[in-house]
Amino acid sequence: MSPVSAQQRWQMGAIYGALVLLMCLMTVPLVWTLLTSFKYNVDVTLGWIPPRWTSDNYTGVVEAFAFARYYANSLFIASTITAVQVSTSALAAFAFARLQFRGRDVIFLGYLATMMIPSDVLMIPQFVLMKKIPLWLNAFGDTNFFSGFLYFGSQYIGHPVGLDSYFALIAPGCFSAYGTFMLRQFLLGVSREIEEAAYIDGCSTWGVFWHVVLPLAKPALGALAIFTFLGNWRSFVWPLIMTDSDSMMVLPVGLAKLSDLYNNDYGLICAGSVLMLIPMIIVFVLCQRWFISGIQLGAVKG
Amino acid sequence: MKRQGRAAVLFLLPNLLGFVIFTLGPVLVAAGMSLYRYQLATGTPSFVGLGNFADLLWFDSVDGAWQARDPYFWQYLANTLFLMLNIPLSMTCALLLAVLLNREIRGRVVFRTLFFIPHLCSGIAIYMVWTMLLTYEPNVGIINGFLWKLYHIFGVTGADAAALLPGWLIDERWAKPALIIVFVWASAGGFSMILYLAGLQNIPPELYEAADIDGANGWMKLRYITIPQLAPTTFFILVTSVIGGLQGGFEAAYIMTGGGPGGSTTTISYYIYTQAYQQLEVGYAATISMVLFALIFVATLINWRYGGSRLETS
Amino acid sequence: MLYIRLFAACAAVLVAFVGARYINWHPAEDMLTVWVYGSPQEAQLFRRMAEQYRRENPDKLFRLEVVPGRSVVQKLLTGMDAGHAPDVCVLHWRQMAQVSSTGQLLPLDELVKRDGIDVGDYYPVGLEAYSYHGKLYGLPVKGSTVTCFYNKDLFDQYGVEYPSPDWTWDELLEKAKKLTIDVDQDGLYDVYGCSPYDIANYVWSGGGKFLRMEDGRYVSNLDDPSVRDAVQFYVDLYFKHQVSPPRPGMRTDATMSTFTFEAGRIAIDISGPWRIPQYQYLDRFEWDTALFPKGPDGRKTRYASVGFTIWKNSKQPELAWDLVKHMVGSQATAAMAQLGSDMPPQRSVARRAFVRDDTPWSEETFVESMEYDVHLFPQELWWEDLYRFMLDDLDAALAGRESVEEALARAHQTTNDYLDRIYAQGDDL
Repeated sequence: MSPVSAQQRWQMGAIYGALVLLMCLMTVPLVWTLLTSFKYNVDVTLGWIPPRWTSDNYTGVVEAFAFARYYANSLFIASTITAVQVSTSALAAFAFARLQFRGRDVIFLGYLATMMIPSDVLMIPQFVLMKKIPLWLNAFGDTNFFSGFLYFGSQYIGHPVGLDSYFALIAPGCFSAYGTFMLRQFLLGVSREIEEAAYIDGCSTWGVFWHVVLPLAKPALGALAIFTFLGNWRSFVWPLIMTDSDSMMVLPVGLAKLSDLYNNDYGLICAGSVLMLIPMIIVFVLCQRWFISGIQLGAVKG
Repeated sequence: MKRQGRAAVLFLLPNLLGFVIFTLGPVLVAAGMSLYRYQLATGTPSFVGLGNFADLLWFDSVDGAWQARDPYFWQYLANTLFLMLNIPLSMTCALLLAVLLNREIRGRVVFRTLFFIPHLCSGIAIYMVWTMLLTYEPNVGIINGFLWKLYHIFGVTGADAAALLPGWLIDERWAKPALIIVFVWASAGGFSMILYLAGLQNIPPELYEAADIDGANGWMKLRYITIPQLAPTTFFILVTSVIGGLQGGFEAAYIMTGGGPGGSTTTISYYIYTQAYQQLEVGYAATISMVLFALIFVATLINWRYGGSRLETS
Repeated sequence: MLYIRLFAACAAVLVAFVGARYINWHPAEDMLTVWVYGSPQEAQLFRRMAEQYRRENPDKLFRLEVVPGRSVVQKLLTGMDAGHAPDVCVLHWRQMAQVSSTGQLLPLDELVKRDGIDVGDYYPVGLEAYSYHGKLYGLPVKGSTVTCFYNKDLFDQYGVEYPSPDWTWDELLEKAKKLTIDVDQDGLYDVYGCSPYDIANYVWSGGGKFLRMEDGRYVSNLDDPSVRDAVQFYVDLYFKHQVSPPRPGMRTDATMSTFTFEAGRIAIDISGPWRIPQYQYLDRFEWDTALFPKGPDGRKTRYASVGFTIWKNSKQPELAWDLVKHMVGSQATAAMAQLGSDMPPQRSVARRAFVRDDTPWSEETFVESMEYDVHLFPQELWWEDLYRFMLDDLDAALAGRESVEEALARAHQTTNDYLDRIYAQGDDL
């Protein structure tokens, strides 16, 4: 251990200075949102500090809409999709990055290609698909179950499948080209030494995937989990088109109801955003400790 | 290495199945739609072959001059490409931030969280705040206010100083640079930084130790170890940013500029949206989508040739 | 570790088992669906009116859903295309041409006649806003015109007379000049005289219009000298006289501005009564309302309205119609007017329900304004799109990079090219 030189100390100071400066820049909109959520709408453009503080926006948001239900829906949908999508993407990414098979690059390119098509137009066939699924299933099983309504206690929880169902909100999100691509790229950057050693020791493909690749891929899995969760927590258009009952709506759709057609109440929107933001910050703080921890470096060394 | 087809099928199956049903099927239908005059919710679609593509891309000779059949498409495409200049800037910032934050410094968690905040905020809040920061009048817009003071320090005052203030959102020449600044700000600390951080964890420390022994300085380590080792991550970020960039710009234009001044911040995605849901010309919107798709595909293939394949063999 | 996993698995099975017991299934039933949107207060009001209908007709099955207003057209048209849409839907008048041009809405003329709805009691422009090519496709629940708000404190402080009922453009400009003020003398304006709203009011009050009919089709009317004068006046407010704060372009309805009436930085705010629910919380200054100033061709202003429509393929059109009648009846529109944002569309309800004694500002202005020449944009599918291109061309004049003549000539060309293309497609317009 060499003693800390003056130059190193100077460097450290510069880095801290830069970081703190950048940090201030980054938090500006958050602070603004928070302060604005306590303003009357007529005070929004009057500087940063509310001239009059009010909690009306928060009571307004909670009273006007079934906010608790939107919250629960968003949480349930985003976490389910995250769990399933990370799993399916990891499996597929392993195949694309490590296994040799015919047509691999072509299939992969096909995956990538679908990410490149703007989603506005896809909505129309996807809507028709979701409308048809329960009809097909009903005809197949000779039943009327799939177009019925489900209730949990007295709470409406949508149709079993099709439009206005949790199925429609969750199932398509579980299979993602983005996640597969991201994990594949990550795996390409990971050294193969340990895997090859494991194969020589007689490990099966599954064994290598489960015991070697997954632990190595933890940081990328964590990153993907965060992205997927955030992406679905914020997704708007798909749930907007798929659901039409209040009980099935998610937070961003609920928030969109706050902004009027030509007349925005920014205080109200900000209060809604803050309520939406708080759990996100908690999730992020908790998760990022876990996924960028550096523990997994031990695997390479050992 | 032996073929591992059977294992591959099992690994791919769960993802591929959902992918084919929910994405590939609708994509093929949308591709089919681009061959029809298809008006949303109005009558039955009529087959026009490649007519939509001709209307979108063709140039007619009028009085000896070439005239685009759809001049707006080309204008908006140029806007979109110009706005994509934010991608290299964002990526550079993200890499630098990640390298800074990968050190053993106190308060790492706090810094990382705060840098990520633009990604947690709603787009509305971000764009509204920036609209206020970028207001032209220096007594209200903070950025021009700073420039105003700066000019005064250098003895430039009154009308001379006012003439030197950029008309961020109100001047056709400045609107796009203004949006680029906002985009870089919003994306530098976001997903790209997180991805780079995750990638940095996987660079074997031995490489740096060896470089230390050889007496390499910080820049050389960045240039010859960090950047090459992060190449797959960079490739991923680049490809997804290009895809996102060509499809983006809707929200910012909507809140900050209304697509103006003079249509200078209207992007392709906004055009697709208006064609499909305002003009109800879904067939035409599908055509624009397919052309955009082809553009992105070619861009990705080029990336792949020069970036991707080299990575896989190394 | 193993124990933890086992425990988790057991817990999951238990939760699933217990949960499944509480899940009930009901067969699908023919239930009427109603979509509404609006501010939270309006949404509450729609709910209240629906509940009242439910109490009066307990045998009628329907559900009312509040949807996001900005995205309702996308959602509605996607649904209509696939044959799955709400029976009743609220639409803003600028969304009407888009939806009714598809032919998916139920014409209401027969029903209105059959049930003896008093159409004479409606302001004609309200019904016109819900008509498309001669057929009525909806009934308005509220509507109002573009008028003015002014900051009385600023007027008093700088000794400017309040707007009179028959004030003109010249007076607007003169007052705005006096009220564009550099309070702290640092060479920058702190208060601007007026925020002029959309250009349409000026074009109409100047005696012009955007399009005219020629040989049974629309052509651009932007070559009309009265249009040029109106645009010149509008642009001069920004560029020559600098009495209005600079902005990105002509089409920025929704964009945020820092120079606002609320902040006391605008003396005359040209806008409509939909601002009142927010302005009523202003406590820093006194304000009042005024009519839109008279132009060279008198006082003309623009209408904005919200109404109910019925889907053509509704399985229960009679129930849908009955519900719509309830939702736009005088009781509902009067309750809507109490929120203070918009006027009832029926003359008989308007003054009684909208004008209040307990407010320091005058609502009378808005009622009076309805008696002047109230305009609409052309009710055509392509209008919003065309208008966007038109305004984009005019931006060059707004920024002072081109003269009004040059910008208008370009917009004229753009408009005619656009219309030629539309007519070449051979749609039944």
